[in-house]
Amino acid sequence: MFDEKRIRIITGHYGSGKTEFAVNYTLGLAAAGYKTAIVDLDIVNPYFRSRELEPFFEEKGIRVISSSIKGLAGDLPALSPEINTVFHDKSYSAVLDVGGDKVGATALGRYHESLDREPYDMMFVLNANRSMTHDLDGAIRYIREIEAGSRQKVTSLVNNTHLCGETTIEDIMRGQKLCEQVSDALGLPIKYIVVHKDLVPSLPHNLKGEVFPIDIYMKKPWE
Amino acid sequence: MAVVFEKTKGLTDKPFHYCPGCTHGIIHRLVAEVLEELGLVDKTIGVAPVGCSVFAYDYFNCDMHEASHGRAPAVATGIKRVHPDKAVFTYQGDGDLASIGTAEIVHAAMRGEKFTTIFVNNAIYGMTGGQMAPTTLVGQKATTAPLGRMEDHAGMPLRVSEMLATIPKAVFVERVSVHDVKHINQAKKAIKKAFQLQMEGKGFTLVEVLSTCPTNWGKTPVESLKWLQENMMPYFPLGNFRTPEEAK
Amino acid sequence: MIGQMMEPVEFRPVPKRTLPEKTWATTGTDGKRQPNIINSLFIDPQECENHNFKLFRKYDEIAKNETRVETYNLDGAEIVFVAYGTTARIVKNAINTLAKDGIKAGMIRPITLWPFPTQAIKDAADRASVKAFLTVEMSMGQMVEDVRLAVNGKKPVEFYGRTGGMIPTPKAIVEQAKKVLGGAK
Repeated sequence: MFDEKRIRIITGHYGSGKTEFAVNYTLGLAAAGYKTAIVDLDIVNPYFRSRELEPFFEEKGIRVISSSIKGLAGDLPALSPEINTVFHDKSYSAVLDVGGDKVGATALGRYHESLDREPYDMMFVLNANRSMTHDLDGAIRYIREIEAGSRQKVTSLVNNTHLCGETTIEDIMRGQKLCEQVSDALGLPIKYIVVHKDLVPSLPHNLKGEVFPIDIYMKKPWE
Repeated sequence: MAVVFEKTKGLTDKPFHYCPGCTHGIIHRLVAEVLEELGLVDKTIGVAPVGCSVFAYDYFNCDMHEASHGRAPAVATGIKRVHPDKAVFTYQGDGDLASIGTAEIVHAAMRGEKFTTIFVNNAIYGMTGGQMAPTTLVGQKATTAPLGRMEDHAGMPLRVSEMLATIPKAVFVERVSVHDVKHINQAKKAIKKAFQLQMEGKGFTLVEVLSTCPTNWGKTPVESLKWLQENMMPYFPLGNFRTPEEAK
Repeated sequence: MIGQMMEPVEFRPVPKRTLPEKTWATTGTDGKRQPNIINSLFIDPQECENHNFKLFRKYDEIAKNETRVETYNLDGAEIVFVAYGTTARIVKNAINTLAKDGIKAGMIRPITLWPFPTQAIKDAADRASVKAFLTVEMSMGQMVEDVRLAVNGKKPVEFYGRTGGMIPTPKAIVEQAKKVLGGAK
């Protein structure tokens, strides 16, 4: 776990739970002793962004980099010059939380020179319950679009198939099957299987990919 | 130690929120430097648009007014008519000026309102996330034109400067670019001329500045400047379209 | 709002008022003060909410001080018309006709539609003599829901309206009123 390259890009469909995974991943990375920064590159959707947890992250010594405009409701795509920090200061282990579609991924395109200079890992978070990524063709098309928008290549898959609090083992296994199909078709490894920590004991063994237990941090306002 | 360079007094100390590589910063500074050089900073009222430069009111060190989307020329008309001795300018992007605000800019020019418009054209809607603008080039991809702008479907980009130059009371219209130092200097000259003619009460003045959007174009700042030269400049040629005879 | 006028309008001269100094105005700083900024953008949700609350305190103040309404012939009225503008004048004719037929009718005429004269309508709904309300409008009922909110279910509220420039006649209004009272008895 956490053996990815220094720059980790996390991408996936809107509502796939990629930010929840990014948050858990970032916390885990910091807990494992890495000097960690999370970059919120989501310029499209102003809700459920990792920057909402800024004070919580900072308490844990994690650097949060987001818009140059303070104020959560702002949805100007104002990328902060601070983002360049993670490319230049190689003491950081960085998690880049990228917008959930081709449009969102475009914001990453402008950093392609930095990413060309240094190998990175780009994890595609797949939730088989999202309409655009519920089958093999849809998932592949989505991955290709994000790659075109961001000018980067996905390097691994993360199975994050869930239905929030109503997730069953069957849901996860259905997502795992889709991930395996995508994995075979594109030659990409399944890196993690994201599972709420309460469900981990019920999960079958010998699945492709490492089990990544998570807590829920991205609270919805109606919860 | 001798001071060799100082930031213009036409700008406040508030850091710009613009993405790195965006040319709004350069254009802001050119306008501010011109105001300072002409001794106008404390006699100026600016009007900010809706778009990425909506917070322009925080950056210019003069009285500033926010306008509804596209309505900056209407607001500036009111201000200039109440304060004819003051310098009044609008700062507008292509989404603001060339789309929702087309009627306002055309009629302000027609009436010969004596203010200056700084029109920043980057061929895209930046603030809202890269949608097609009236200025988006044929073939240029945008979120609302995923296959590129199609001529048969969306027509050809609007050349605002050429259009406004047909209006008799638009006395000064020039298109400039800020992709390199030489052009930045030329842009400043045009902006200065526009403000001078405004203060002489000649009529409506506009400077169109070709600009970039690295974030929504998905290009590095350097690539963006190159893209501007190779793609925008052939369709939006630089040059002066109107100058009063006596000012030539 | 400027509308199309059916009849001439008489403008009364507005008395001159002394206004407070406009220290907020964008007039150029003349080097004597910090720049003034006029905007309405509150990017921080808390600031935006504070601003909304401030505006609503202002609206409350307006509702308290600026509501204007005419009440007509409400004492002992069995039916209360709610109508404004041209329609209100026609309704007055209908009220006179109804009186000849032995039916007591009254009217509430909102002079300001915002703030809406909710209290006057509430008070009328509490009168024992009132059996029903009838709003008469030259629309498909832009006001009737406001009247229903004010009456709050205490009495039936019916609607009669004409559109497209057609004008309700006193005769038609009288007929409607009789129908409403027939149903309310």
